[in-house]
Amino acid sequence: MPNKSLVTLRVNGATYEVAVRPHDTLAQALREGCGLTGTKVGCDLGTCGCCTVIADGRPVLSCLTLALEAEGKDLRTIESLARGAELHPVQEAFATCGGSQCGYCTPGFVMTTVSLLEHEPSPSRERIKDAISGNLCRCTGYVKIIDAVERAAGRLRAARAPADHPSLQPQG
Amino acid sequence: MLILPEFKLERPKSLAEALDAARRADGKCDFLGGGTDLLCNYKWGINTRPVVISLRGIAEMNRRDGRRVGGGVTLASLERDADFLDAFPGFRGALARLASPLIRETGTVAGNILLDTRCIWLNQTEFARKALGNCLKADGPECRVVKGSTDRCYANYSGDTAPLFMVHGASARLASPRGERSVPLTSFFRIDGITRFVKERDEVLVSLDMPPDAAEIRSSYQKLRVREAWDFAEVATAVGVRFDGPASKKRIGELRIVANAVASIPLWLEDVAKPFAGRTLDEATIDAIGDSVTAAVQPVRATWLPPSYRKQMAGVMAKRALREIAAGVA
Amino acid sequence: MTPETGAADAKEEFKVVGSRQPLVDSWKKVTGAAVYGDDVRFPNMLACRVLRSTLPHAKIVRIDTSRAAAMPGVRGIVTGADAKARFGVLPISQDEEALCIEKVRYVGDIVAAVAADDEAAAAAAAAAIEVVYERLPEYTDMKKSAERVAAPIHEWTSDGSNVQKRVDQHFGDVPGALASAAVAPKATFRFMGVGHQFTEPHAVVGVPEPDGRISLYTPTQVPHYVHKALAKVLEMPMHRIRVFRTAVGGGFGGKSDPFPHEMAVCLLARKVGRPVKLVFDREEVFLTNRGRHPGEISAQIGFDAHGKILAYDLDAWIDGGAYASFGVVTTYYNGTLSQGPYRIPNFRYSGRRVYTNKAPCGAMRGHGAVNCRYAVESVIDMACEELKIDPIELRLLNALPAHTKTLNGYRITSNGIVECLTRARDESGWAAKKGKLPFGKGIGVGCGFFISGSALPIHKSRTPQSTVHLKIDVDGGITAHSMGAEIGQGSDTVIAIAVAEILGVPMDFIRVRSEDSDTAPLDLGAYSSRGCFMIGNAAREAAIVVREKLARAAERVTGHPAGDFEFADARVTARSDRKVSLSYFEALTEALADHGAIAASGWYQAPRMGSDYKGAGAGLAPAYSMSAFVAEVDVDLETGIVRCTGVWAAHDCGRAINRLSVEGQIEGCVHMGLGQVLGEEMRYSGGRVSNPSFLDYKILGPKEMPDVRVLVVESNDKEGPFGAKESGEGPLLPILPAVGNALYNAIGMRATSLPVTPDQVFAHLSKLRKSGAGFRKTWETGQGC
Ligand SMILES: Cc1cc2nc3c(=O)[nH]c(=O)nc-3n(C[C@H](O)[C@H](O)[C@H](O)COP(=O)(O)OP(=O)(O)OC[C@H]3O[C@@H](n4cnc5c(N)ncnc54)[C@H](O)[C@@H]3O)c2cc1C
Ligand code: SF4
Ligand code: FES
Ligand code: FES
Repeated sequence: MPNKSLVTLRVNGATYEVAVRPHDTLAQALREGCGLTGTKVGCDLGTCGCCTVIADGRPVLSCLTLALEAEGKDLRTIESLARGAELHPVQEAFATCGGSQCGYCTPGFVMTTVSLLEHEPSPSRERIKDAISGNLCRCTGYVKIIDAVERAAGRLRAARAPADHPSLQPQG
Repeated sequence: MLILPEFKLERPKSLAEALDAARRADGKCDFLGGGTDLLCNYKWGINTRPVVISLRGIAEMNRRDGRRVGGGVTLASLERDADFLDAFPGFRGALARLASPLIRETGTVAGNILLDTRCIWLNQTEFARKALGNCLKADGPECRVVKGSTDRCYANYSGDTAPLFMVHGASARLASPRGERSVPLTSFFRIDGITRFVKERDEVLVSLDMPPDAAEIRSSYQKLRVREAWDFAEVATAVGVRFDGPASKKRIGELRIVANAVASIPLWLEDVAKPFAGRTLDEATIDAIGDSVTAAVQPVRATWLPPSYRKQMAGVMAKRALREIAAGVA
Repeated sequence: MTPETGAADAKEEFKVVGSRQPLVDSWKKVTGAAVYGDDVRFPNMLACRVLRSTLPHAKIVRIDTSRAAAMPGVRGIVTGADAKARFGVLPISQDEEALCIEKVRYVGDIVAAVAADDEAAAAAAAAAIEVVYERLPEYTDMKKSAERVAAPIHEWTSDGSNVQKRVDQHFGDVPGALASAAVAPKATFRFMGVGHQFTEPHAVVGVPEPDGRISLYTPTQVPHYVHKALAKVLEMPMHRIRVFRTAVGGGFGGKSDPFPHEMAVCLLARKVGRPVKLVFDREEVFLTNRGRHPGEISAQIGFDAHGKILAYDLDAWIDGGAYASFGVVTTYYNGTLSQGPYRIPNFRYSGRRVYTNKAPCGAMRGHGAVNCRYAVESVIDMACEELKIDPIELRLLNALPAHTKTLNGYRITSNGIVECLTRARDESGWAAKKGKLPFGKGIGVGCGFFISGSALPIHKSRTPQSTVHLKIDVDGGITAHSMGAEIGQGSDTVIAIAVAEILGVPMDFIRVRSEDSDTAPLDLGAYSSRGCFMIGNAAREAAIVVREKLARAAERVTGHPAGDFEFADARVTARSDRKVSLSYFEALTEALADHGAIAASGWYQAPRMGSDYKGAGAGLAPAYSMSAFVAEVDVDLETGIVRCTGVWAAHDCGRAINRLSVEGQIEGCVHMGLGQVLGEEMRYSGGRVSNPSFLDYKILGPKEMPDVRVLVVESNDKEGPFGAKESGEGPLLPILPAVGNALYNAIGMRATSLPVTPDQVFAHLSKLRKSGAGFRKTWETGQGC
């Protein structure tokens, strides 16, 4: 068995020294090595998106990424978003809009959405469908997930708007 | 979790280092691009090798330089490459319908060209394959799709970008310890059962190079899949047209057709295309071309939908591609 | 898309009930903090892998584990020799084994389980176990399997066949009624099996506790049944076993059997004396299955000339796979649940569930009612065409009234079917579309009727089906204990809403603990769409007990009579004199004085009802949900690909306790049901599932989802908590026939085989094109393309 070697992963702004084997996936390293179990594995084959994390600003499937290949990348997982009890607007929107039922797909959807909205603050509903189409949800029929992405987009835009802008008022 | 087989991971920083690693592995290695194909196959225990050489660290392969698309360029970055899409608008739809947006973030162009063939009997775990009865491609005596075939696998090729690169006349730039060579994509794929490419095992696909006149070809790629995400092509057709004279006259100067996902390689239908040179791209011509495409392909039962249907659809996809091109110049 | 808010006849004014409440556990889910099966970790924990049968049917001649046991990192192995007791979810069909004892019955049956230091070591060892099999004849075709066979799959099928259960029912005079019918269309429908395919693969942990008890951590929908089965298999009394329900990453019925792997992991944990975790890969989820049965249903329905239904004559073949699971119930439901929401004066049904050497089927969302619903709603539309009556008109004509009894003795209480039909009709613009859409586009309707919880518990018992405990101490927070399984459907939130509503406190006062069999009072779990009705009632009852205690405390403080207090905004206020008011905390402080923490219990037990013929209990429910959906489809005339483009989903849920959840359940049902019509199917090669992956099993993505307009109909059920019934399963039923009927409307193709695949549609279109007429015109002019 090839020996484990120490890899340094930068996750959520912290540095983790994790012992991995060459054939360990990033999903394994995050869950087992870093203890960050918020990232889920639903299929292990690229078809559900439950394992989505953000690497250098873009979503990646951690089940199809080797842990060693993530070295040097700026990784973000679902655990990075909330500040204490204050949810990230995307998280808040998934809860408020009912975009999460059983919740197993949720970390993946949330990370995909966070990355989407960082690059495209005002996606149309059609564009949202496109962007989330690599994530599979068996519970919601996606309707409320799309609602959530729209709400989050609105709140994030509002938060970026000048302080006296009326849309800064929290919605709903 | 699915457990990846053990392997040694090499992470070269340059092409030379990569080729050196391949030489050391003595052919018992695989290159790793995005890994979205290779790692699935490895998790399924299909043709695994003891050494994996990751190409991600090779900077020169990860960018587009004019007409040269690095093999390591991700599908998503190509999708976001406005200059490239302006020059080759046919790629826009092809990329948007390739795998899923998440897979496109890591999947690379070279990996897509070199995508392994797929088959309903094959792309499953070792357990399922054993239960179903191993087939020729993985440790079995005989092909399940074409009964009696003991020397040839009929699994399906469904890489979505190769057909378009082909109609635009692209060449594959290959590098090995023996040097570099460039192979036109139209003669890159060949069916001989075991290998499907002229690429040698230790050769790296460094880039895809478009010829100077590539942008003169108007192209379209039409893909039929069950769902609008994830699914591989059940059948697809790429069409390229070089118009003779002003495009608005719609006189076909040269027609190029690739039928995809109906065989173990993308089919370059030269003989189907030739007779249509000089014809006007009207509905009648479009129908005739579509029918010839359907007549020319012979898919087998290696995918989700039945072959007889896919055969019909190869022509329908060709017609749609042609209509899109015709509409674009109208 | 803002769904309609319904024209409820609000008899009562509610504060929380009817609002849009985020699920109370959603914060855990959106932050990644929720602990699912695979997230459970213990010190010293081992990893487990199981060895599964690669043969559909074989005798186990010998199992040799010696080589495996000697491999590095291996700590223990269990096989069929380690547990003799059989179990199963229904007491009448206990045919499952923790690990196969004498033979294997499907590809995937568990033969051995290995505990090792890590998964790789466990997997390697499992592969090194040598099993010698003697192959037996494989029965994979249900009809052949129903004949006398050489080697029955289970020994108890007495007639030498593999028929597990037969149901024959006849009420009234069906042959007579059919003979007198003006029209009596008939058709046979074939259904492929479909699977739940929740996103969380099964993942369980068995823990040997230092005091000799065994704990099982499992994402289960039915902790109580798992508990019972464990006691039997481990041969330990129930109180020595603890079942801890982890967060459940989707169930839909697929986590509602006690599973062999749950037994195996506990056996292993006990044997090696260390915690053992087993996590399935996706393929194993397909193999384990328990999904909707494949089968064949023939339906004939007789009508008089005005369109009144005279008789149903149904026949169902149900392919059960290798084990019984819920199959006895399924066999009844396939006939009986197709009756409502119509008045059926004569009814005949024959059904049989047959064992085959395939992945076992079980209960899946809309259990037993989905396929027969598709059949009858399709045949009803066939009659509409013959009689030239509008499909919605005809359905309205036959609608079952409220407060009545069905022919077979179901007690019907609230019934919003008429409102469902009329609202779906009006909101969808039915009149402007039906018969007026171009070729290739179509509109269709389908109804649904489903139980709000099975009135009879699976195990005969006088213990209430749901009990909820409330505990309130000086902090003022209210802890609700329940074993009702939160699986994403929102049952914890229903508890919280019920308590908040009754006690007039904000939602954040309430915390629901519904995981642990050590602390939770009995609840039968999340199946038969029973949660909202039964747990909701139990929670409401418990809260009323607390309210009385607080009211009496308020009386002691104020001297005002307890009966006059109302509870709202965290205050206790006299109705007749609003100046007499104290805060919730003041009342609570008085209530706790000299007594300590308040403990209150509420429970729900379905009333006795129904007839007493054999099988009369099947499908009996304290209330029934009703629904009517209109769907529009768009057929790609060149490729045969069908897309559903719009759905108007009217569902009578009694009352939407949580509007957000009701909508979410309906939308989820639409998605899952659409999958079964337009893509999902489990394919087999012989006895082997041949498409066990998300790539090859076609769950629809966001781009295949139509716009769904949810129309909540609130019939306000007298016995439901705050009037509520169910919305978790019933709304799946109508989408299938609505789409099937829309497809017929679009291109004249009666889909008699689900799922509808593009090649089927293309073949139909090609035939039409050859024969000309109607189609050719639109086809050749390109209209409708
Ligand atoms: C769920 C799912 C859906 C998918 N759907 C589609 C689809 O619709 N259409 C489609 O085309 N593909 C699809 N794919 C396949 C795959 O993701 C893409 O084809 C992708 O482009 C492959 O690129 P990669 O870099 O990830 O390849 P890798 O997995 O890295 O490599 C693929 C093959 O190419 C070799 N290779 C890679 N780069 C080089 C190089 N530079 N030189 C030499 N050899 C190299 C590898 O050794 C391997 O044999 C899908 C995959 C998944 C998991
Ligand atoms: S085509 Fe034949 S040999 Fe190739 S993978 Fe499929 S069954 Fe195996
Ligand atoms: S677990 Fe990675 S995509 Fe499903
Ligand atoms: S919420 Fe359950 S899978 Fe999406």
